[in-house]
Amino acid sequence: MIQVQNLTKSYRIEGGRHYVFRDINAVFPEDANIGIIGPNGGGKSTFLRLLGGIDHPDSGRIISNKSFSWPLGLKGGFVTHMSGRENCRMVCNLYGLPPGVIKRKLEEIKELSGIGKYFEEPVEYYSSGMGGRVGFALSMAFDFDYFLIDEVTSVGDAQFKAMAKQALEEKAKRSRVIMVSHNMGDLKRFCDMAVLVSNGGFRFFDNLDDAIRAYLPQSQESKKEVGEIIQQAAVEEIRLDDVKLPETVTDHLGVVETALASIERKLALPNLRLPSNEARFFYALATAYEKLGDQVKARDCCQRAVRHDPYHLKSHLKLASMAAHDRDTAALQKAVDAAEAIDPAHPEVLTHRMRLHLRAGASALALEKNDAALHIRPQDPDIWHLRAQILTRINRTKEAIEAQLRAVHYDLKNPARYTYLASLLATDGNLKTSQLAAHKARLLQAASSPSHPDPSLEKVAHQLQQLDASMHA
Amino acid sequence: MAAISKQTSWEIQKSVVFALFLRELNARFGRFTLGYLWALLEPLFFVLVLSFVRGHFTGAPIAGLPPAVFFASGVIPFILFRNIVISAIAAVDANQGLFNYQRVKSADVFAARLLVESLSIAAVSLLIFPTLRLLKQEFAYNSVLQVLAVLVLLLMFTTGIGLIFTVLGPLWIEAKKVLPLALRPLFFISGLFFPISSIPPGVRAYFLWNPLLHGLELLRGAAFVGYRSTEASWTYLFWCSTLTFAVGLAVYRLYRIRIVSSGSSR
Repeated sequence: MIQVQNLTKSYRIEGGRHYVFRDINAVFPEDANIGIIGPNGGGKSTFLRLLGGIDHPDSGRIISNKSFSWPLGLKGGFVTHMSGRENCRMVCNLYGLPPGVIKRKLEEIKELSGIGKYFEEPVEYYSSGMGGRVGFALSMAFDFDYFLIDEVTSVGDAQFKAMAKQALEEKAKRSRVIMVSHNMGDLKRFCDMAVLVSNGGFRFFDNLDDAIRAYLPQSQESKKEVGEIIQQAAVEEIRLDDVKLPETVTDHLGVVETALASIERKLALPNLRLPSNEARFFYALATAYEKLGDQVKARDCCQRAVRHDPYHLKSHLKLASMAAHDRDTAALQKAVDAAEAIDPAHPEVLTHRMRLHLRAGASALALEKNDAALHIRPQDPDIWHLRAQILTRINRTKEAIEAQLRAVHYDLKNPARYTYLASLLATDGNLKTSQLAAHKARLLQAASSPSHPDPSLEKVAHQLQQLDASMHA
Repeated sequence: MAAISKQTSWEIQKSVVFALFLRELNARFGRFTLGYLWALLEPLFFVLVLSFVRGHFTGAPIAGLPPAVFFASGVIPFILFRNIVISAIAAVDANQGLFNYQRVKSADVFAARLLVESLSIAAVSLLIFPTLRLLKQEFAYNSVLQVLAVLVLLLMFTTGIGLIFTVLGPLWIEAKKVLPLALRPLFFISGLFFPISSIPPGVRAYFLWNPLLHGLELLRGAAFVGYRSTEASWTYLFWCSTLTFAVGLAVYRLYRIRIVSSGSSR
């Protein structure tokens, strides 16, 4: 049981004190996973720190006979000049593990954190999130009654989240979680009940959805934050009222239509003078058509661009990617040959060449190109996706899954990445995770349906207006 | 492993100090071999410089001791005192990462530091004095028990001051600048390189306020045959150390929460 008794906590601010909690009394139900939600600055993290015993109230107390983990936050709370391993060994010593056990636990932590060789590097070199992952993995080495989780589940990619969930489920027999998160999906995934912390008070909800509904309307402090929450909620299948198309979007659609009509009218005129750089003009127009979803006109514009300037690399590349999309090998071959003549080391040229090798069955050659491309663009989801395809072709499924996870990681909103991941996982026999990935893909597809407009619309409208203005009839 | 909520206070205390001790060792000596070397070089450097200023290694004895032995027996305990007290000022601020774990308290950080410094200085002493003996410096060891008694009193004094500084560091923003400055004169007035008998009688009474001077004099008397300090007082050192130790503990007890609590007065 956790009992909060007359809890008061304040911070010094310019010209006075800000009270986070003032004389609060509450009793937390036994044996429940508890999600803490509330506006920023409402005291969620402070409460977690007080629970964990690493911060202290001005007056009052929190009574419990349970053991709590330290709050698992984004940074991990490590001594920065020591390596991840040294930090973890120290904490294992802090909690009195015998040396033999520590040795085993350290390997488990390294495995679970998934940061590989960084485990041996000083924590100060960690990118954001890595510390949190190690901290989370480390805490899993102990049997706390309660794990205090402060946003840490939000740092990970899908893979880490799945592992975190699994690790916590294994602990579920004797441990519970108390977690703070802005991610409503995470809260729903991990918690049975919720506490809304705001205005210095606690409100308990037996049901997460009720808590979120009670919380969303009062979190108007920042429109952007609400937007993010709604988006997340939509993805995570929390029912919300239908979102109406904002007026700005309809405005932009109008502009696009007018500009396109004007451009097409002028293009039909016999005595038209194009802007001096025709290739660039048609390329820009192609980009706009592509964004609007008109592939035929986009391809036509690209072809006109290369007719004006046979060395316009971008147009060749766009033709190549459209051909790849349509699975038109002949067109792809032609476009890639042209582009390769201009810049053989361009990562996109490498990517397309890779695709061609793959289609021709030359996996070794494809893999070679893939290595070269990754060297230039290590975070390109397309290249990783292709790598996964190549690796599947040569039956290296495990590596393929790893590559595809990277592709997903660098392109979190693209359902195609998840679909392929799902098929790979199914091949590998991991049906449960495969189902999850497939489900995620469906959710993303639903989220990107026409009711959710592309934010680049404004850009397209602007671009078309400029093109229109540069033409002289 | 016992369930975490079942561990006794003693088990927790043991694990924490042990863990921090290992970490301290690693921080001081782990990364580069220079760590070990530096622990040895610093006192050696002082001893050599002072010996040369005094006119060679083999100069006239000071109060019955060869100069190098006299300096070493002053410099080594003083370095211990200084290192511990100075590091105490930043003990809380520099170890925020550690306080992420609820069982680590600032006194544990201090205790681990005290342990490492003491052991390192003990090792240095066990290296330096026999070496001096090999170098034909003439001196004879006196009483181990008395040496231990002085060391206990000096460590109590050091711990008392250290705990007070542990508390002052986070509560008083100027502490990091002021306290080291205030400590500097101690190097010159604590009898590191002169015996009490060489202080002019007119000001000697004021010098004798300094408990460190008593400590160093008593330590030499306890360690070496023939060194006699008429003015250094066991009683004075005992009371100063006990009192400082008690005040240190009390201050720490009173402020232990304030110094790690967020939003406290600063």
